Amino acid sequence: MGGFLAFVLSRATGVSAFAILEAGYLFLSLIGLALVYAFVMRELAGNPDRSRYRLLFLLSLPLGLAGARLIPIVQDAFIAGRLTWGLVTHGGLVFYGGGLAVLGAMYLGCRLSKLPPWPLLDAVCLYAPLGHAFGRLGCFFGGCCFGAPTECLVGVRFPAASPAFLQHRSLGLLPQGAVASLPVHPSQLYETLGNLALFALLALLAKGQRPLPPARLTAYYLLGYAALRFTLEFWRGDAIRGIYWGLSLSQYVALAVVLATAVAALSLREKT
Amino acid sequence: MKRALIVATSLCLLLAGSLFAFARTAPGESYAAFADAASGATCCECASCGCLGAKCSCLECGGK
Repeated sequence: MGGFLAFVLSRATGVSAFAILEAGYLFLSLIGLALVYAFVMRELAGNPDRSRYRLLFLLSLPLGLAGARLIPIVQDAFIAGRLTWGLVTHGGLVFYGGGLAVLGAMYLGCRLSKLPPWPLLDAVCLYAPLGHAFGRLGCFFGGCCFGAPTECLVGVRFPAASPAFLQHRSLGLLPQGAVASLPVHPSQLYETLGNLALFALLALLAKGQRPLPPARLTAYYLLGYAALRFTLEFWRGDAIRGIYWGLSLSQYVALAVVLATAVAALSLREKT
Repeated sequence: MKRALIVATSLCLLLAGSLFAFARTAPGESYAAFADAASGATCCECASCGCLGAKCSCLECGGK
């Protein structure tokens, strides 16, 4: 959708439409990241180790980027039957890989620094859905992560050259001379709304009368997002995310996250 | 803090609504004009295949 908007802006300003598209795409995602950073630092305002948590937050970001690239690289290499430098340097990012890598890096960093990890992780997990909601707006703008074709009222068409258009054309779903994709579920906006609802729920739990024990918010976020993602994947239509035996890769990751969170919660309960 | 959160959430909802409204109300001739402009571009210049990856990760790009 952003391609289209970028085209209109490009005509008005003379700036390359592709540059506007990339800028808009990144801008919305970076707004999300900046919001998470700002609110987490505000949450840790009274913590004496705040500056060390800040350093760990910032150091974990490159690892998150690497984690977000890992899944597309493995998928592309699997399809191509070989791993080339081009596959490593070109391609998209997967939120789940990045999110889990960031949380893992923060946990390990805190352990190595002999800091309790939960003040940082609980704060990050509280505000992550808010930042992610902006990130999904970036997806809608960029046209990736699009939904399955639909005839319902909320269906939107993505313009020529968008990923939805290219996929529908390659599958022979579009008539000759089509200028837009078939109407698809705005799955990116569904996830934006779902993330905002998850954020509201976590904020209510966090600011309730009784303070939550450490690690509880992290567990609630991991379980809540896994449930949200597993459900919303049924309305996704982008084939590139990978479908295996009826479920998408993210749905398998969501199931693994639920299982790992349940095991970790049980082992924590036994320890305490 | 609470005010900042309300502003951020409202902004997100406003942006979501604006983008959805733009997608729903754009006239067909605009799509046609965009398709004309986009027809000269390659798949890899225009497509995005994953979140934040504005350039295509399809094998014709990545395999090179």
